[in-house]
Amino acid sequence: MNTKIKQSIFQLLAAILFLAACKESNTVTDVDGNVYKTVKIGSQIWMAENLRVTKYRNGNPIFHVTDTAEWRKTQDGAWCSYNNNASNTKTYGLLYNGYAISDSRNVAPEGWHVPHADEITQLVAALKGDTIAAGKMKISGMEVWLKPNTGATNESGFSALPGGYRSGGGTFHTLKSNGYWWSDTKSYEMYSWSSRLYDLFADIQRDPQYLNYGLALRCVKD
Amino acid sequence: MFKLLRFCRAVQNIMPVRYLREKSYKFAARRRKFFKNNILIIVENHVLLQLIRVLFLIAKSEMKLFQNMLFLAIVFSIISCANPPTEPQVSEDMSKSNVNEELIPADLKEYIKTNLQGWLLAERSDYSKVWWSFYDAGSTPYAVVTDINDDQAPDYGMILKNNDALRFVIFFKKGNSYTHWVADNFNKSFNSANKDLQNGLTIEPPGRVDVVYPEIKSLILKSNAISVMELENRRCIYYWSNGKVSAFTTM
Repeated sequence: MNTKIKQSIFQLLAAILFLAACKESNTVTDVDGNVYKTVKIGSQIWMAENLRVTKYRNGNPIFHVTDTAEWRKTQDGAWCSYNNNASNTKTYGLLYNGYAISDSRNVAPEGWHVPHADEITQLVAALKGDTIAAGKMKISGMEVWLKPNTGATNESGFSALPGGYRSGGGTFHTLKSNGYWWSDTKSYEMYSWSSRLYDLFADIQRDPQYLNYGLALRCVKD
Repeated sequence: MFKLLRFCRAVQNIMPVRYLREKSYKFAARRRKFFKNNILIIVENHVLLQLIRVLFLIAKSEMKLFQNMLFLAIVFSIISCANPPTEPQVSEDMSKSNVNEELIPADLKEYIKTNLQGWLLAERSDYSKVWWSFYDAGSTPYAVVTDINDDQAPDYGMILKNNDALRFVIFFKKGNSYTHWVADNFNKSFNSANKDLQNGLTIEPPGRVDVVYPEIKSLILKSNAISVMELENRRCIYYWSNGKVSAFTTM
């Protein structure tokens, strides 16, 4: 085989390899075109940022509800920014009510899903137990979390942020001190003053009123 | 696996790699960390690396030096592209922050000294042995920090002592200074000589609190709140409501 042909083959293969390797990059893109970092924890791959999509997977819009009374009474999927302030979205993502989470049109990007409650259990197990899991998931320092940000190392790469929540009554609470995320049937939460991962706040199966609460969302790869 | 490790060593030992390492410490550190910590990822990408190996051999035997360098730049681009760092950027000093040592800022201590003369923060040694049979020895039951009024600034709950008298006080951060609120339903005392303090603080997260004593009642906490404990029992919850601190007695 002459040298020029070999060189051509080599260059072609190198280009293919380069493109193939880059395709495997650790990001996911939603239907709005937002790009999220991802992280592998145990055997699961999680988003490393809170979701900020405004449409379901099929392109239908999720309602943007800012009005307090409307938030209280809606039975449709809805999103908002904390305090209805768009500047909070970039850092903390969006807050979704339970109707958006359970909508069959799917809020999660293609190839991803809202975590099942048992996937939270797997996550906790991968992080060696609920008493220290949140510490391994919270971003360290006190720029985004208020002090004391107990135990925070972000050793897992989950990069949890204290995005607060919107109550069923439409009021906003606990930005910078607490973070709340949806699983398919309940919430899981972290506090600035604890290294423990809790899941006691919102349980839709036990009390459907929590469908009107606004929490953040991290998706898991299928 | 051994073939793979041999390949890794070969890649590390060839001249252009050393050259690259000398030129870019950051890149070299990332590559070393990759080889050291991500062997499993290497195995997962085994097929990809075998292809790289074939190309490497072709390049070594057939290409000129500058072409080899170009090739290696592509190979390492692939490696770094396929395995971008997912490790968090942990700030060493912050990650070691500890509530017990850094809880109370110096300006707050100064505020207490100026505005609450004679009152001092309780200490671990003031607590009874019974207290420590319930709680972790490393905890600071006399002080907590959380945001109870949703202003995204830390608020401090403290048990202060003045000789044998005790008070529960909440300090609110306001700009560069503080304001404070003293609980009027907590006028307790303890025997400082006997070290028998039995009241401490915990933080209550948002949620619903139901009690049956002294009466059946419920409280919906929308923000964080502070509980004053009497040994293992919750005595009262102090929470923010309608622009002021309210008390929800539970015993």
